[in-house]
Amino acid sequence: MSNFLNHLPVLVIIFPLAATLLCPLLGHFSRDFSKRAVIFGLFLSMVCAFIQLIQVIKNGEPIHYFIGGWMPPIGIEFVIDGLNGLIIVLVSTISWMTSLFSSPFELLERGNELRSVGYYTILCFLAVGLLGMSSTGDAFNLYVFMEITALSGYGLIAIGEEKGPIAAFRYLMTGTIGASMYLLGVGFLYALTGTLNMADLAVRLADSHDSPLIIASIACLIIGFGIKMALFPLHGWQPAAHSYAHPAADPMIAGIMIKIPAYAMLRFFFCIFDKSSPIIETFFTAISIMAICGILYGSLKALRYDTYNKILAFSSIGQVGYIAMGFAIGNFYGLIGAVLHIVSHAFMKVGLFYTSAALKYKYDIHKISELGQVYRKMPVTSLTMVVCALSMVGLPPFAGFFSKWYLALGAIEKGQYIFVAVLIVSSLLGVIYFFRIFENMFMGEFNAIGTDNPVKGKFEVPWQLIIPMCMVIVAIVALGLFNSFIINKVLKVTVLEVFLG
Amino acid sequence: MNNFLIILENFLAESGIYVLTFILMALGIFGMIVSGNYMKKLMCMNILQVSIIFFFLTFGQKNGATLPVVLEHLLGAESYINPLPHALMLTAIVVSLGTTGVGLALLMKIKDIYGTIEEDEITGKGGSKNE
Amino acid sequence: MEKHLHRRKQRKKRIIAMIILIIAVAASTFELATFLPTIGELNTPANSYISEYYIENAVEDTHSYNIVTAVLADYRGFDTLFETCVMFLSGITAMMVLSTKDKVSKSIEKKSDDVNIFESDIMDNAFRIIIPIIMIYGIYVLAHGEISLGGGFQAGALLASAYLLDKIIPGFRTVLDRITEEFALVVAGVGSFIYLSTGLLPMFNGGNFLEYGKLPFGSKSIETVGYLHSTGILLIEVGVTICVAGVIIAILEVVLERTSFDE
Repeated sequence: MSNFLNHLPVLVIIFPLAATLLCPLLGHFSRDFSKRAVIFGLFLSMVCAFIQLIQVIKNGEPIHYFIGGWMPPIGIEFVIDGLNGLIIVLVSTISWMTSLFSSPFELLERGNELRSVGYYTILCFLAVGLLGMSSTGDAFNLYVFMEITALSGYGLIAIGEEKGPIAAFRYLMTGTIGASMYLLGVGFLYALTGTLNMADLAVRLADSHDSPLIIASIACLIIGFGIKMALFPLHGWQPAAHSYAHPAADPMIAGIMIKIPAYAMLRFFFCIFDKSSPIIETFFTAISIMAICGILYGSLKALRYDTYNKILAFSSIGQVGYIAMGFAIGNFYGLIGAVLHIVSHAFMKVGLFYTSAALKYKYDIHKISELGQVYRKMPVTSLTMVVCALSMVGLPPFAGFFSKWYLALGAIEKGQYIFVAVLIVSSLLGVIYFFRIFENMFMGEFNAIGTDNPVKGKFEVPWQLIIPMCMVIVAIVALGLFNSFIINKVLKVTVLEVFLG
Repeated sequence: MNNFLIILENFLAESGIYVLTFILMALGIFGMIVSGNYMKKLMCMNILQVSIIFFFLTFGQKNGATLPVVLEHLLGAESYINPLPHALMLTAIVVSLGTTGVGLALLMKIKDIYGTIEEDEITGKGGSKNE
Repeated sequence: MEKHLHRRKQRKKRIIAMIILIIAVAASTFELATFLPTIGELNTPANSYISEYYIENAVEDTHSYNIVTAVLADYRGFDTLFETCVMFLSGITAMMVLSTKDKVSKSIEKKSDDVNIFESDIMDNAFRIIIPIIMIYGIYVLAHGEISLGGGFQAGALLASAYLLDKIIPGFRTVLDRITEEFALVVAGVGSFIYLSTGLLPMFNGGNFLEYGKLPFGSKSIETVGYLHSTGILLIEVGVTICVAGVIIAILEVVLERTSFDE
């Protein structure tokens, strides 16, 4: 048993990886086998992630796992601390929920055995890539996981709606530029230090923090991560990709695929580079300008559209801006706010995209003008939508309020009142575009055009869709109510020691 | 002429080859932005990836060193070139191969749906049938 | 005519922009490049820190005489595991994108199987002789990966190219059966799984993931650790070979199935 506990960091990745590699083989016998294997593999991964987080909190210090038994600068290591353990729990939970959520969608395509098996393989690879990105402590290994994430993203976007292939191809172009830029940045760092391990990089960069190579490297890394997380001027691929992806996989693509690069950026900027050097300060100013423009642009652009997914996609651009703003503030409350916003916004966006997929499943609704009186027919879906939207706007009992609260506290502590103003303005804009949806839903006339997809069972949609949506509601309320517990027990030690120490 | 060659050689040996890889990289990105044909964009993407691979390989070079394969007995670190960038770039090459493969598959699908891979005709700027 | 002129004008503009770009990049990176390590120097950080450790200890640690293989398959074997997964993933993504719901083109493919387009007995017989040689050479490359240059990826490509040659010879289906793309992907997945399970075995024997020194084979004296490492490298190279060959065959089958010969 103790043997098993020692291997937790890598077991989190191995279970889904084994499931996805054997997926085609199992699918050869029966299609349900491969589906069950993926759901079970992701479930085991989620259990491991929870045990691992509890272990980290109990020990009070990070877990290091040396892959292949080689010590860090020579081999690859996994480092799990409080922050990163929380992110892994988030990713594995949402992956498991989404794999469960996808199963009714696949039944619609009974004609083609292959597509279902392939869909689960790619979905599970997406989870593997994101889990790997959040646990690795090696800069080049991060690149490999980033490419796995991106490739599975291209696949899931391309098999979506009619414009999917074009959106996927554009994302492929932009995403490759981003990954190449990241690799170039790592190349500069490698040329300067001769190592690829993140902790070792931090030690060896300590005496050369004003070399021009560092400036070039930081610029490349900002472009690379900025493209991957859809930060404002680099967001071009994002709206189309998030709107046309496969509806069942969309929650995962929109919810967490843009958050994990943000986390990786946090790790690079606060663990590797010297935060006090003037160069980093300058770059943080640049990031904060990008963040402010992104928040306003995303919120304003979301007002213009009638398509539900497009509104959500543009709102994501704004929300990523909040996370970048937290980095730019750079003090304790700013970082806490950014990390909490990564977690809470992941759940909120996932919930909203679940409702979008459920609406497509039941009535084939794409536009908000078709939403009229839908709440009578689909109460659970509407409740999820209302809870997520109120949390996005930032109403107190829900999770979204607290992350914004900590961001505002951080900004006030640093004396940057413009951030507070932007926060309030964009929240008000959020009120406008989410209440436009509510208006259509509660006051519009019932004219759902799409055919009613008949569903067995008690609920409006199959139970596989209901469970994830209820879990999202529970998660949002719990994150709101227990946020001080999460901050004090999980994040405080890590943020103070690793990021600001 | 001979003199010029020597100057060129010195320039390239010192730092010029880095400038050349950066130019190659810039050309790749430029081509990806400017060209209207998706196939050309994909080719430019490959140029970009190759330039990054060159960049890594250049600083793994050592004067007077040979391939990192031990033949009879180990000679010492200065007589073999740096194996790490080569190992890393083998990974990067396979990744870029995978990306290109997916890109080509997407192009075939786009050609099926729209009948063309010209960006103008797909987005409708060139005044064609598709919206 | 007007369109043609317009296009020519546009091309001219692009060339000018390109030249400006080249000059700008050269000017801006010239200064930067002087800070990068001089090419060929021995004492740069990149060439001296961990790279020295690899060169000096690889043979002793892993019994692999090719140091690049030692780094790729042992010290950084985790990267290579996911590199193999990238191959598998790109194969399955390509198939997902290209597999249409109604397979219209299947009938065309059948026709092309029956009709001999390039009929040349000499070529066919030459290919028949070459195919077994390529396959043996592929296995040689696979086995020699740790001694000299070679390894799983090249071996997989060679084995797949043998299948490709067999496929393009018309009317010759006696040696290698036709593999469907689904089956090729199953094989590729199993190949990657062999790699993964090679990594898992040491975990039951008290080692870490991918720690080949703790593979549960043979006696556990200190002298055999190097041999166990080379066994591990061979096992994962077999997995990589199977995966790469499977993926290449799968992509080939998908593309060939869609190719119509009426043009």
